[in-house]
Amino acid sequence: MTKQLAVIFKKETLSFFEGVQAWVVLSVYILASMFTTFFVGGFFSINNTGLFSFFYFQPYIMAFLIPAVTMRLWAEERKNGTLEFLLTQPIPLSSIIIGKFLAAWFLCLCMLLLTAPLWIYMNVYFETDNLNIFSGYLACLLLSGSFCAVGCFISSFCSSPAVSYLWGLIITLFLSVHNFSGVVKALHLPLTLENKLSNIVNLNSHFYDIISGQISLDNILFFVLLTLISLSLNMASIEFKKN
Amino acid sequence: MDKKKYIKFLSLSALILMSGIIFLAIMSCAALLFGNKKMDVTSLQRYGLDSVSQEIAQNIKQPINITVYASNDLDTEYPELDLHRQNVMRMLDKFQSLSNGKITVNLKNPEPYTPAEYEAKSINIRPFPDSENTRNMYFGAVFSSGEGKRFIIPYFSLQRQNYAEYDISRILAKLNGEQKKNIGVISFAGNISDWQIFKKLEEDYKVVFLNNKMPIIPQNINTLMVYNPQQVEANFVYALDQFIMRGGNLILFIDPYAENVAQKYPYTKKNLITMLPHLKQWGLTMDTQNVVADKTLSGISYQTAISEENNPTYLKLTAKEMNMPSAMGEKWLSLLFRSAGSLEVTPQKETSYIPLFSTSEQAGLINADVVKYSNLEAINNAVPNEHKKFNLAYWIEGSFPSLFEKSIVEGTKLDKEFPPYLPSSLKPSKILVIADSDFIADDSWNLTGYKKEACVYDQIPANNNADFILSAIDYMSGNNTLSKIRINYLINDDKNIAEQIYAQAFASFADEYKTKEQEVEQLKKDLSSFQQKLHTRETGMSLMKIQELDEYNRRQQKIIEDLKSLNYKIQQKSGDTVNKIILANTIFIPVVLLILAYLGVKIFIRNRKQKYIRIINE
Repeated sequence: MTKQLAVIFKKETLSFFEGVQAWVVLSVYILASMFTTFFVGGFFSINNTGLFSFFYFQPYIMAFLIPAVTMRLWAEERKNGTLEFLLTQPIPLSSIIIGKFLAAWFLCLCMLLLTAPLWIYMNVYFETDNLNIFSGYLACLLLSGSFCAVGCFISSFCSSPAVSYLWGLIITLFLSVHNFSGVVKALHLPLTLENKLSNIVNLNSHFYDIISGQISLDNILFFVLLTLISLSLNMASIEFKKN
Repeated sequence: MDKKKYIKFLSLSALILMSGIIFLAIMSCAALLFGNKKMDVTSLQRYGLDSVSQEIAQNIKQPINITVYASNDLDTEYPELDLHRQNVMRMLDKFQSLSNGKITVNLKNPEPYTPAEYEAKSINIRPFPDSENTRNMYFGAVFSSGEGKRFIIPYFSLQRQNYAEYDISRILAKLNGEQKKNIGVISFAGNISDWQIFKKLEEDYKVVFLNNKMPIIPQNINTLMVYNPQQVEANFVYALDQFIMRGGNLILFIDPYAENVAQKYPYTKKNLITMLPHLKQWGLTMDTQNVVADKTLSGISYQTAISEENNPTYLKLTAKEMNMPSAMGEKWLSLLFRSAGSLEVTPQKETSYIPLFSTSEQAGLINADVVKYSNLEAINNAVPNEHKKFNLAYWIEGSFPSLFEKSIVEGTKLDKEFPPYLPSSLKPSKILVIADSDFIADDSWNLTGYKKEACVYDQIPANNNADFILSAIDYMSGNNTLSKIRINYLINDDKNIAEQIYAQAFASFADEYKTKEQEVEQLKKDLSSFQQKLHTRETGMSLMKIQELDEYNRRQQKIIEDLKSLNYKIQQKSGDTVNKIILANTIFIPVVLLILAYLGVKIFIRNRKQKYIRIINE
């Protein structure tokens, strides 16, 4: 299975980099990240030992960019009619799903690696809290993994990459901007309970906990669970298609 | 949609819904199990509760209810305050989880015209306007115990966020502890009851201001503060003596030059310190003529803050210059002494002495009159290079003999009304002698002006003078845990990048800047001596002298211009660094990395193609 997974991962990764998609995503990501860090996040004026002004905007940037990474993973297979061919190959479905997901996640890792010089730069010239920055990168990696899994799932039932991108954008924006706060408010629960429930389902709250250097197991579990559930749903939707 | 597709759609929807429910269930369990167990992933452990705070939370005996009143829209109206709210809530959760169910935390959202808002107003939670000034917002808390004790933080000020844990820990300890104890205050400098330090003390103790002519210190007072004793009467000397004999604890502020008193009563003669008999009895001697000066510790003088000249008699002490007894907890961040005196010790039997605060090895003494009547330049010039270390405060614990051989009322009608005369200490006393009366004055530690309704939770201390005194009183009163609580300076106390860039840019011009500053100083001196000579008519006024005077002014103008140009260069260099950081991280480095990655991918693909061609050919 590992060998088959590696084959799928290689194929998908190469298809990203052979075309312009990966290069456009990487360029837009670095420009957007640095613009928000320096011009919106008050990089020079706030206490930035943990690179807070860089990490703060990552959920919004990733909400826009990751659907662009995942949009064609399944949708294009459907569009080109290669999905049936792929599913009839002697490769377990789980390997295909995980392989595609890992390829998208790898691109996100490349995106984050492009920002690593900022970390190095900060270390050379300014006071930094490396442990805190490390936790920030961990948060970004977990967040991008969740968004990739969500994007893969959405791509699995869309027949056009453009539609897949739009749905992906709506869902990731909903997760990072809206945070279910309206849904929780509509339940009219007592305020303490409402607050607790909001924190449980609030992606930003978990993300900001980690980037501010206060991690608990439920923060990590949120992203891991979101990823696993999205991948399971992805598998279910392909199984439906297969049958 | 045919039936088969419809069933597929329904099944998938049901699966998504079920996944959502499972997700929510697992996350709720995880939040209950691990939500409060946060790991502090910062190098300096910024967010961890202090060990003293943890001890307080673990030892809570009776139920404590905490109600936080926080407007829901803080995140959109005041994002920074909302971050502070999140930190406070997390901190309260930590206290709650450590208290074994003794602490309950409730959150209320005082929306306008709701019962929650009326409740918040009725218990004095302070409203503040939203960014458009259309409605009130709230962020405060009420702490109440089962016994009916209640403490209120009307507003969690953003400027006081370093104090959040300190304030909450103190309140919890007080709710868990005894009744307020009495502390006496005797001032020899008029009414000082409006000083901010007493507002702080009154939050935790019952402060009783006593007359300085009283021959007896009331029995219900075990800790006494004596401020700037001068021209004291025999009655007071006897009262204090007997107070110490019965084991009373004392904090004494005494110095050769009390600036605050001099400002209040500018025409009084030089201070007459008549406390010396007591000091000698405790094994202390104080230089009453000179104040301590130390250029290496000099804090900025407030009168000249604009010109940023340092006053060598204003000593800003850091942890390095402190020596706290272990029972009183860790060292403080900073303390400010203003024209302090120096103390020396001649050890007595059964008495322990701890020099709490001292200068560096580079200090010297200046006559108090010079400090009082001279300008800063003259004071700076008068600092001698004695290369000595001086002690500014002593902590003494021990028993002493009385200064008196018999009661001062012996044989009079008052004899029966007075408590019996004690010839020696019944039990050991704790005495803190601080050789600076200005130590607790508002302008030594608390630089902000406050409105009348301001409370202790509005204070934004610049130095820890009042915190230290409160901690000493806690220790003297037996509240040992309270005395060890410290302020978390790790939260939000780093230099920002702009400041660091400016400091780095300045460092490369520092020598040049210093030389120019010295030139200005020298020129000023030359000019003033030249002008003095002209005034005293040592030299007559002539065309040459006028030209010389002009030349001085021209040179001074030139150096000032040079300094301005240096300043401009520093700012330009800072600006260049900012641009470099932005360009390097936004364009240059990513472009280079992307090009390298692109080339790498191309080479990899070409090699793969060649490999496939070779295989096909074979």
